[in-house]
Amino acid sequence: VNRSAATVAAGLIVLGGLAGAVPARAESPLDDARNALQHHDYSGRMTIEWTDTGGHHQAHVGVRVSKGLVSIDGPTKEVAAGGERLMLGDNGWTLMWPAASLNATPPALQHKYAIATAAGPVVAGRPTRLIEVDVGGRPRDRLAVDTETGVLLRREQFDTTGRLVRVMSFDSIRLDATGSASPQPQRRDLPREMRARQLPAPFLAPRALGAGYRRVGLFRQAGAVHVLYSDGLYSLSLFQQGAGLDQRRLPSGGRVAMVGRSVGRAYAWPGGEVVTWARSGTTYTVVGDGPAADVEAAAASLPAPRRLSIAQRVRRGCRAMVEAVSGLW
Amino acid sequence: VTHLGDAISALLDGELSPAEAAQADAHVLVCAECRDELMAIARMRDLVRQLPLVPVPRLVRPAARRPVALVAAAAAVVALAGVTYRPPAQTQSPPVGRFVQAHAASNLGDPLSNLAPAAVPVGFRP
Repeated sequence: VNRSAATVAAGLIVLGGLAGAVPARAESPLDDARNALQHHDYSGRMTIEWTDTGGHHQAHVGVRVSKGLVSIDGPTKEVAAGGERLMLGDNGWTLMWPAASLNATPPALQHKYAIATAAGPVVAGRPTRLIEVDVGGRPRDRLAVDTETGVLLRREQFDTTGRLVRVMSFDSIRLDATGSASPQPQRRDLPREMRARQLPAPFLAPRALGAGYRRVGLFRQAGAVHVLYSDGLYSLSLFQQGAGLDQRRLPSGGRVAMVGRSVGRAYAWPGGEVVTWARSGTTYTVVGDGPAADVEAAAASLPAPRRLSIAQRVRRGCRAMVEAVSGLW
Repeated sequence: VTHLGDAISALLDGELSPAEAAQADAHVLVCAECRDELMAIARMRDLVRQLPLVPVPRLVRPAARRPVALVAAAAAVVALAGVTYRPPAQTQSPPVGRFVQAHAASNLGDPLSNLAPAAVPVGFRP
């Protein structure tokens, strides 16, 4: 733990007030929120607000936390049980992420952000402590955590100009949720971990991307190569597919986004931004929960795709010729 | 942007009409992707053309010489075709909603912040 992190942690403990009920402070305020989930049972109703090109949106979800098990009850139902993530779909519960944690450690929050704390607003009838995460004096994230329990009660996210773009806030909360068991998954749709040196051309997995993102995982998932990045506060996923982009079949809405010299499309989702574009026969989709400008800066920093080797081109050409010939019969 | 695709080989082989060739030339001037592809194919063709002719070794019996030469020639044709052949460009539409769910499920950060927004599906459908 470096000196600045230790100073921040010490400051948080002093400002915590009723810190006796709160577990030891971690380097990131989100780690604190994650720790609080393990030590407090509660249930409540939460409002999520976000803006996109279609205007301002609002949705409500139920939250129940019991013995570390987090259940989200919205239009989609989701569960976090330890490291595992499960989602309820048409075919029952699907295990989306395994219990095993990532091998790589995300970068320290302080490598990009500054943290300040202050007395926070009353949220859902409970007093809070406000943790403000800034870059260059502009707010990026404001977290209001319960002064007694450390539970995250409200989160406000800003774009790079300081405009409020997303809010997640409890409307009501009760600190006595009853226990429930983790659902049994009927399906598994898990990422398969890969090593960077196993990655075939033209796919890429740079160690770092623009806006301070560092690589923390590399997987094969959902028919794509999935590279996971973190900047210490936000995460970003880069998905790569080995075919060009059919712009006509893209989801409607969104807006045009230039990624380097490529024309892409950007969409907002309640938790962040998606950008998709193609270059040299490979389609890239970046999903991030940070500000749109950071997500787009990370996308634009991706280097040119690796060229296929002669052997790969021969293999690809032969396969295509066999497919073309076999299609004649 | 419509790239030249198979027209690059046709351009190199002089199979395009003068009007088509002029149009392709104009595109190559402004499209780095097609320019790179054109140069790569042209380089590959030059390299293959510069390969020395190798006489069939005398040790090979006359009766066997012809089939061996035919097999070698066929292999060379397949390899060359493999390098220069451009399969029809495949396209797709990325499953944006599925990617968002996969991203939200990754266990970095705070589960509440990750999962709560992902529980609100938005219309990522073409």
